[in-house]
Amino acid sequence: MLRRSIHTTKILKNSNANSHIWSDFTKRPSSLSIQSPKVKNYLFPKKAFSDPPSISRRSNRIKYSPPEHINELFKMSYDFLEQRSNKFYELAGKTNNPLKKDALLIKAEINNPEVQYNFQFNNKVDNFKHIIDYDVPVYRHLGKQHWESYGQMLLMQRLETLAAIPDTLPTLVPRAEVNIKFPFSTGLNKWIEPGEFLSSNVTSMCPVFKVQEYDHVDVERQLYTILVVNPDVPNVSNDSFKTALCYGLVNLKLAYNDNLIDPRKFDSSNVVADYLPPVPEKNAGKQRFVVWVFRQSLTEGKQGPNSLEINQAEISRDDFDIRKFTKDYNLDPIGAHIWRSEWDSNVAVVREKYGLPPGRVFSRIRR
Amino acid sequence: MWNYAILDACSFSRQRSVSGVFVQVRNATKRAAGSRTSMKDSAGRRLGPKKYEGQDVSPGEIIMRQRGTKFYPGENVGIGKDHSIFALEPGVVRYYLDPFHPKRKFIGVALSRDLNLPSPHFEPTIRRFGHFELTNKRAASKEENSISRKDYLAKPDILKQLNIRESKRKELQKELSKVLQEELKLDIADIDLATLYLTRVRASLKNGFSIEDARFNSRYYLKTEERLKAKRENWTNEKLTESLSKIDSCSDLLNSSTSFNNKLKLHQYISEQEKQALKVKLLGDLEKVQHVRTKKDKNDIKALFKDACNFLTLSEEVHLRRKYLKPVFPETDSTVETKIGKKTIVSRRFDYTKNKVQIIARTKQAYLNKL
Repeated sequence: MLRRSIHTTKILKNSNANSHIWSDFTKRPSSLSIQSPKVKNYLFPKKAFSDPPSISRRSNRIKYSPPEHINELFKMSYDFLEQRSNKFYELAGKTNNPLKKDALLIKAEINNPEVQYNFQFNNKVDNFKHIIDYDVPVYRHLGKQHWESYGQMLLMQRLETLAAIPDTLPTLVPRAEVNIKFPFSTGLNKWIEPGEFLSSNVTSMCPVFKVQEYDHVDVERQLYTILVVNPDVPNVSNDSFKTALCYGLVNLKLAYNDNLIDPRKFDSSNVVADYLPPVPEKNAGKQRFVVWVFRQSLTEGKQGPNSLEINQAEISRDDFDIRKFTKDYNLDPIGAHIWRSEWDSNVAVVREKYGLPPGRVFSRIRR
Repeated sequence: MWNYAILDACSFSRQRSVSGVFVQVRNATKRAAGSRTSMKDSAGRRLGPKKYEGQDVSPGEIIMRQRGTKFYPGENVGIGKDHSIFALEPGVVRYYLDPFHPKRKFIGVALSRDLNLPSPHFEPTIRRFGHFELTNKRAASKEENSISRKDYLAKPDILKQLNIRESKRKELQKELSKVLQEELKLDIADIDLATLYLTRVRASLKNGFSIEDARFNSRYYLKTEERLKAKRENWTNEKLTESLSKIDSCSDLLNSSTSFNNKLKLHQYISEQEKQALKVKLLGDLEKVQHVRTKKDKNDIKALFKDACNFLTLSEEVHLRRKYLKPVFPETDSTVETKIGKKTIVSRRFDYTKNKVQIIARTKQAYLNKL
């Protein structure tokens, strides 16, 4: 105990000499600070003791008493961590390697209680830039950790059990979080869980994609491609299945925060294949619709974004070879999503809307 | 070593029994030999492979009968409750090893003779569709219209709910068109288009989209519907652009002249700056009449809140109402009585700091609804 107190006093002396890097917001983005003044005042109290704002009932607030000496201990630890963060900032200023710099900046902020609070108590998918700013390396790091703890595993489990890999592409090393939503058809405001069954009414209009990059990428130059394929179109001639291309977008530009891809983000020059809604035929079984997100390759030495010129004539939508396409255009799959559709009584309406011929009817029993 | 005393005692007792009182009887207790295991032999269970490597099978045919999983089910085969392995697809039987499970032997069915198992890990799986197309029109329509018993039972209820929703939507559209024409007196060419747009904006707002997203989503929906209609009916380009521009102008007009309040009622457009100004003004007015003492004060504050839903968000409005229209006023000298009398209202509450029940007498002026 004695040793410890001697140790901390030493460091506190040093910390007084340096500036308070975590509380000086002249150079730092404001997203590294807690937005609510109530919470901030509680975390860094000016008074001796105040009630915790996280407890909403007054009676419970009054009943609450903090652990003994927690405030002094918190202050001491905060000063120590702030002091250490200073060193990481100094080192980050010296390095030229962007990956190393990011790692140091993450180390400098990861123990900042304000950052941790902001990330834990706010929406991570529909993030507000002034609270969770994915331009800041530490939030990207936290976001990636959060995604890996559940979302990524769920996605991979669904892709594997539903055999989206290897039926569409051989495998996936997930690097970007992909979320989809169908806001136009029914006005539904819901992120789709991978593998969910969706009705033909919901999917009757195009989805929007949210592609969250966590890696260090060249945001100015990097372009993306999105393909939605259906590997379950019945092929009667050889009694098997073929893959259809439902939707294709190329040369999409993303930012770390502004990454919702809806029709405001692209025009007709980005569209390789117009959206064709899922219209499964009766008794043709469940159909998988796999969303693939690719990074387009960057050529070394070339300035500016490397946009793709897609030869529309080469693409056959009904019998699409996604492996060949990715190989031809040198696309790097970074993320995926999947939903499933089945025949329902509304399919005929959707077919009529899109001017598609009436669907075939298959025998209920397999031969 | 021998205890002679005991030996003597034994010899004495033998002498007694021999003397005629105790006659030993030996019953036949010897068991018959050989019944323990030899009765348990059963006939052979006819286990073993029923189909060998390379043989053709059709679905349901048993390939292997076994005790336990001597062989595991591989591709396109199933396993029964007695671990017998049977084909799920027509094809060729394959006995194989899988590098992912080095200690197991597998039986699978390859869909054609030129295929080997296990199939390559990173290649697309080879699947058989199996259904055939119904070419007979009557049979096809019968099959298409057939629904499961569960769906059949649920259908009337679903249709009823659908009708209710539809009629509600109609009612809402009527209401909106009334507001547009009578209250706001807007000059709108296509009132149906306008109400359709507004109902979609309203639904999007209700689902939690921001106002910009709600407006874009609704406009995009209408435009896409129009484009699809044009494609179906082979419209000329001019006709399509004309109708698209009609949608644009209509939605622009509505965006600039109407807005939804926090109760999703349509009203005159208020810009963000105006909203801020109104909010500041409201806060100022509320500050002036901070202490509600009389019925007049109460009505004044209620009057201030009358249009507040148009420029405050729901949470802001609720917070302000809770702050300025408290059902029980703060304890001051004028509201709290020291003595309990006929004109006081007594309430009890638990004081957590003193761990005691407190009895408080208040005048009638301490309650908002008794003013």
